[in-house]
Amino acid sequence: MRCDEAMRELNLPSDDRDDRALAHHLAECEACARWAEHAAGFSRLWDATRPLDPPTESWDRLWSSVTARLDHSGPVTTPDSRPENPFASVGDAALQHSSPITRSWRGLAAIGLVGLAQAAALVPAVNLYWNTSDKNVQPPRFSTSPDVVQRTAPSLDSEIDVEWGQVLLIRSDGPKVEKIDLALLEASNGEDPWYDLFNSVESASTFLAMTE
Amino acid sequence: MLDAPSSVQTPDEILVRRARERDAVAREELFQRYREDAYRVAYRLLGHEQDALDVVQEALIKAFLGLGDFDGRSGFRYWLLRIVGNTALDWGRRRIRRTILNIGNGRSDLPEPAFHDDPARGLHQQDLRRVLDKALDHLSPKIRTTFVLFAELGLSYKEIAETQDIPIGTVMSRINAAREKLQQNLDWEKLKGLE
Repeated sequence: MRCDEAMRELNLPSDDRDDRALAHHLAECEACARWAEHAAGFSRLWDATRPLDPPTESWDRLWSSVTARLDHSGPVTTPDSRPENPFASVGDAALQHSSPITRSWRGLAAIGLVGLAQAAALVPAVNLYWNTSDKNVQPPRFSTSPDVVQRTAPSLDSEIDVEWGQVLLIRSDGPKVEKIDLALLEASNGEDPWYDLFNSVESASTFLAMTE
Repeated sequence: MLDAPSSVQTPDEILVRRARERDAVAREELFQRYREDAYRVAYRLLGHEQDALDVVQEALIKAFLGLGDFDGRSGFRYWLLRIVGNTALDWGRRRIRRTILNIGNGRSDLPEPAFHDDPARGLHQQDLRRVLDKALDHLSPKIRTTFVLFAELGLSYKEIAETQDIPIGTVMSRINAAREKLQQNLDWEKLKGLE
């Protein structure tokens, strides 16, 4: 047995291991033996920290809350009637009236407002810059070519339409301002759509605004 | 000695169908079947008993209200566990934000012991848990979730793949990565003498 095979064996549930071959390898390989020792220590640690089952009263209270919420809700959603929510994890569509979600949307709206305010402050500054550029004012020293200015400046001359209820990420990605409709973001490969959102924010050269 | 015959369990599919029709008994039966799995996963992802209970509650509401979205390809158990995992990760993010906000107020959202009748045992477990949580914090949320499903519930690679809707190869590589990182980041000095 090679070291990589031994590692693979050690990662398997103990019932599925080839114990004889593994023991033989561990007797000869100090590094793998140390790894195995740590793996066993880790298993003991995991077992020692297993959660105790909550008391019955906790479960009863929890179930009462769940049933109370279910009783006050509308009919069970179907795929046809499901509202699109870009941030919804599996089953989130059903939680339209949930207070934590509402709170997070309020938070998003607040972020959006701040972002919009910042974007609004940018617009006159950029317009001023472009207007003065039209009057053949010297460009900044680091950029002697007008093409470069064109490539690096976001083109804010076009209006961005935001429909009521749309959740948008507005960002500049190099030469153009991009409007990403978050409602159209699909969770890919079971990944959390929040990751898609954060990736979009992180990959933008300039994050302008997010709005609801 | 012969085992007492066990009563035949109603299959999940039938319970799910009844739960869709708002059958309270079916809902409760599903809750009873999977509440512990859900709690253990949430607890291992958040390291906090009360947060784990809150997550289970939120996940159950999502699951029962969203039963129309459940296509039945994977079992209800795996579907619920996926919701629990996603809800716990959302909860964790909110908790980080809350903790940051509370730093200025001198308040803390750090894990607290609960449910322990024996304070000595609680304290010891709390110490061990801190060591483990510190190591688990080095894992990304996705890898941590995969590893928790493997180590806590003993799900097979195939079952984890179903739960997380990822290929089996990804499950294997995540578990390998988790083990390597955990072993690197565990404070073995503090764990000496752990039986």
